[in-house]
Amino acid sequence: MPRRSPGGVENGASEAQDLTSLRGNTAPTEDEINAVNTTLNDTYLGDVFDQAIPNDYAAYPWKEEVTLDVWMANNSILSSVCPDLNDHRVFNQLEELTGIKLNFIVPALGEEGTEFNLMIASGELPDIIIGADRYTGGIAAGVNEGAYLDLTDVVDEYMPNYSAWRNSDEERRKTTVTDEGVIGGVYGIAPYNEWCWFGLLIKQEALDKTGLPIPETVDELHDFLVACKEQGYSQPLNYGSNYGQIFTGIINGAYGVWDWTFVDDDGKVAWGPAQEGAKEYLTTMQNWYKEGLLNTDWATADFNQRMAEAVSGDCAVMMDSPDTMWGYWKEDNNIDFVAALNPVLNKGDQSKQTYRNFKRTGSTAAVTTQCENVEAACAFLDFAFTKKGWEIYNYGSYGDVHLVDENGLPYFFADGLMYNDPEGQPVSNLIWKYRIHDGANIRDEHNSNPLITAEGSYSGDIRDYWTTNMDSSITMPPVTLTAEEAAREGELGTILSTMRNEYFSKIIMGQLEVDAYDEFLENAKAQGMDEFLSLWQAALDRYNAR
Amino acid sequence: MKRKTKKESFKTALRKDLKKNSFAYLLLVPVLLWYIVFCYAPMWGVLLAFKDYKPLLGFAESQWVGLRHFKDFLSGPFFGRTVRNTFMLNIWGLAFGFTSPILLALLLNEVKAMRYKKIVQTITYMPHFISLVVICGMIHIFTQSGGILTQLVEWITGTEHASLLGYANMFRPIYTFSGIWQNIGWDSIIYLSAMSSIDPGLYEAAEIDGAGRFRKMWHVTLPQISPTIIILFIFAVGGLMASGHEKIILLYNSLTYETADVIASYVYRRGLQEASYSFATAVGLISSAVNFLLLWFTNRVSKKYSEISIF
Amino acid sequence: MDKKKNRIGRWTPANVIFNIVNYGILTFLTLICLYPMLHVLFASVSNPTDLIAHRGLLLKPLGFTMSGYKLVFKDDSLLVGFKNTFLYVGLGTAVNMLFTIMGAYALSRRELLLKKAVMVIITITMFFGGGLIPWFLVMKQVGLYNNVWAMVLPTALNTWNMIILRTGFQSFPYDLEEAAVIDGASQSKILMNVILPLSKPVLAVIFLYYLVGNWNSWFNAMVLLKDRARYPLQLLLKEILVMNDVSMSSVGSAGGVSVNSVQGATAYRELVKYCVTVIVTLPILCVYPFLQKYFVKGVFVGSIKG
Repeated sequence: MPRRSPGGVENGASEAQDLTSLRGNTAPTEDEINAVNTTLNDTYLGDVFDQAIPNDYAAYPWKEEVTLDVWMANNSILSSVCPDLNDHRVFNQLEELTGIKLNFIVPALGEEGTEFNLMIASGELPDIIIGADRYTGGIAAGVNEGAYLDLTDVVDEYMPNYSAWRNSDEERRKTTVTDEGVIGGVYGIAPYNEWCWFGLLIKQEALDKTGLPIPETVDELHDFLVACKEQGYSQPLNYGSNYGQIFTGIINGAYGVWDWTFVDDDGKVAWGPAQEGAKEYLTTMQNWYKEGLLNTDWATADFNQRMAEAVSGDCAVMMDSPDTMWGYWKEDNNIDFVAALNPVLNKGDQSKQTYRNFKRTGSTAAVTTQCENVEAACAFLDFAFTKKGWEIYNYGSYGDVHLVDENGLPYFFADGLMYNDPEGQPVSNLIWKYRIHDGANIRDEHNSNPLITAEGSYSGDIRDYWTTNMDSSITMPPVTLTAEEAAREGELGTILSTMRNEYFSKIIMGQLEVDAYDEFLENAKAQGMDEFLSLWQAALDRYNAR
Repeated sequence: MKRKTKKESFKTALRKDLKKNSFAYLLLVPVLLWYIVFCYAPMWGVLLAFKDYKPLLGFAESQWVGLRHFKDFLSGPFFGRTVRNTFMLNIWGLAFGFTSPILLALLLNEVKAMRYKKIVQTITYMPHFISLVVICGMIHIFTQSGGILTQLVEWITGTEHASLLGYANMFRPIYTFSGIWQNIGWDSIIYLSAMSSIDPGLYEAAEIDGAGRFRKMWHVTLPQISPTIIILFIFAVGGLMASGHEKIILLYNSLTYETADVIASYVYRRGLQEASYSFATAVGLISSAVNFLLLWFTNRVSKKYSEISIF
Repeated sequence: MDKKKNRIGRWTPANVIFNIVNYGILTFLTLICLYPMLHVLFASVSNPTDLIAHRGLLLKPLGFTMSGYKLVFKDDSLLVGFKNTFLYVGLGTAVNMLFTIMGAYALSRRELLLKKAVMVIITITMFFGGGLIPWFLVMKQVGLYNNVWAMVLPTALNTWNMIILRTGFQSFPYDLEEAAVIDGASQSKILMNVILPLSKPVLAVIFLYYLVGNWNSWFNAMVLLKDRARYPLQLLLKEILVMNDVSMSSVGSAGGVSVNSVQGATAYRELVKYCVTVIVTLPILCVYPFLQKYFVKGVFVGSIKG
């Protein structure tokens, strides 16, 4: 990608050239590709969502030479496709188009939390922090304690696109502001409610070999796993999860023992691990572990280890994202798979889950109080909420990574880099190489996740199937806590989650008796479980009143 | 009157001393400065323990909370556990880590084939020079499921095992014995050198009394190096509650917190990972105080019974 | 002659049994110390897929390949890490020796009036400190956060080493110095020309202590350095070995070997771990035999009389 000076970018909006002919064009010329990639002309992009994406480019290219320090955490996929974020092709293109230069500060992998806190403690803040909700106590605390800038008054002036986009829908507006009406961060906002993204996935060959149907109840799942074990799958259920929680509600939900907080039948906040069914759930899991149905390493295995297990002949069932598994199973190893709904206790019960997307996705960015050029920082963040920004964040560059269809919706074409990486990397990694998978932008997951849109991929269908067939009404909405509440919640939440993780995993692994659960519950109560719930209840009440 | 002259004479003596030893004092200045900045300045920071410190508000603006953090810790579930773990890991260390270099030195001292002795020494010293990160990396490799140590445990117990680092009851042995592996050779040097200065006459006398090799080891060598052992023991006991966190945070996980989480690792986790700066400082302060008391106590006991002390 | 024979011991049955047991135990211990290192060395040149399937002891490499090493050296970040570590170790150890010699020399002066007071000040720090958080805040205040000197100054002095060296300096006969004074030598000359040359063994041991400490240090870097470009080797190593993060981009195209399957990548990831372990450990293991002859003498001087 040739680098050009900020002045070199022409403002496409004011230009007459019409590029609508590119819609449906599968062989654009060199000039056309250049026009798309280096100007702000967006005439070839259509309005494909319920609300039109704004396209106010008046601020670009930025009027002066400016470099912003951006703190952004790495992840193992991103680090494997792009060792240095300053060389990331998407960000480089964004720098060119906006005329704003970025200098990324990337913490060591696995030490993100520590390094973030150290940075806050050091008092030396960058201009922009991506993943700003890491702040102990959340965005509200960050604003109150003087780390993040209160953007409430400037958002309309400096961020016309973001402002228009978040006000375009009541749900979007409601979830991107604190109870006090403070806008402390720039939130990733989706054009639609995203599909649920994790659940039970079963290798088709395991169904064939055992001759059993897709299990619907916990007992059926058990019988199926036993049958798999007889067929040589030595650790049939890959039970671990690297998403920060060890239980994803997939099995425990059947017992009402959800991972964390949820809204119970009376509309009150409840804490899953303290629910009545917990002992029954733990007994079941302990038995399964004893029978060798779970992967022995589930509690300590990391992502790479789990994927290696998944593709091996030991595993029949995964609890994961169908996007990920489509990459690892189907694409890399030609293993077909099907989805099951979260199992229930009694046949015919409604399957439930606690994932519901409130059109707020991706990461949250904040402008810090030490930002010297707030206007420029806002302008950079605002670009993500323009049509051009939507295209580049989600679909990368034009001509080599994506083309645009008849409706003006970008797509990854079969001969493009997304499916033909010169380094031979799998698509599951490329989601971070040619595009930004997770950021503070308009995240168009359903159309721009190549694992979903790849030819033959059924992961989108699976996610759609889960979302429409499982009841997610118990999901806790994205409420916000006040700074004080958040500080207390942080303390209590940490203690509770440490205790839950320890007791539950030890009981399941048989290192503790199931009766140890009573001790756990007692401890949890002694450590302020009720106070913890009352904090969330208060926040929920305020949210409902918004 | 007498006091005044004493004071005065000290002053003049000091002036004389400063002049006479100006070079030594000159060298001392940067050293003292270093101590002030890097050791004493942080001590003032313990005041953080009495506040609810928010870095961006600054020290003065942060709320004063008195003893709240101390109360929280002492009444919380992690107090008992972290203290117990710190204590137990160090007891393991004393029982195995402290004694094994003495045994190695005793055995090596009986070796008369110099070349063999040299080879044993060279190899046993070696692990000391491997970095902690690498050591812990090796532990991770050897104890993952299917790792060589996991296989060994499976062979002994006859049951299948997941990664050994996931079992709370394995943590202390892994921590202690990897420590021994790393330091047994190096730590034996000090005893070997103490042994090398034992008067050969003592052995001859013992031999005349008909003592065999083993009895000489027991009745001559061991008593002769006991002052060294006692001094090192005092230091070891003094450090009982001062378990470092570096190795622990490289090896533990939530499954092993029950046996692995010590005060220092808890301070690290709460302070740096969870940003509870004041709370972590309070915990650190408590452990520092306990440590000092322990050292003082051991030293007193030792002084009373063996007349050996470090201060 | 007779005396020597006595010390070696007579060939009595008890003696023979003692020797057999003694040599047996020692040999066993030595093998245990040696084996993990050999295992890593053998594994680092083994065929990765064979390696992952292998069970039991590894007594020789499984096949032979250098592709793991090639992969490691293809990655720039490790080379940068090496460069940084060399800088920190060089600078750090020099500062360490300077400060330690200065302090030890001053405290070894017998007649120094304030010696007791200074010793108290110093000893207190061995047992009492402010703790991690206040320490960090002070480091930040003196400008060491994200500063190269953060790898040098906070560890510039180790009290224990200074006391060892002081004891070493004190162990010379006093007349030696007096003679020099009579000759008209200044105190600095005495330090440079008399005391330091005579203290070689202790200096060597302390030098080694510092060298190893600096080479192996990672925690301060993790806490104080923000820029990846300044990370020392050990911190990068921690990501690879402990966080299990081996860059897949280098694994993706392993020196001509194409590894696209997950199993293949996993195997190479394991291999790379062994290789970096060897690469990082070898340099320090190469230095130490040269200093080994000083160990016994140096350690002895410091500790017993300390």
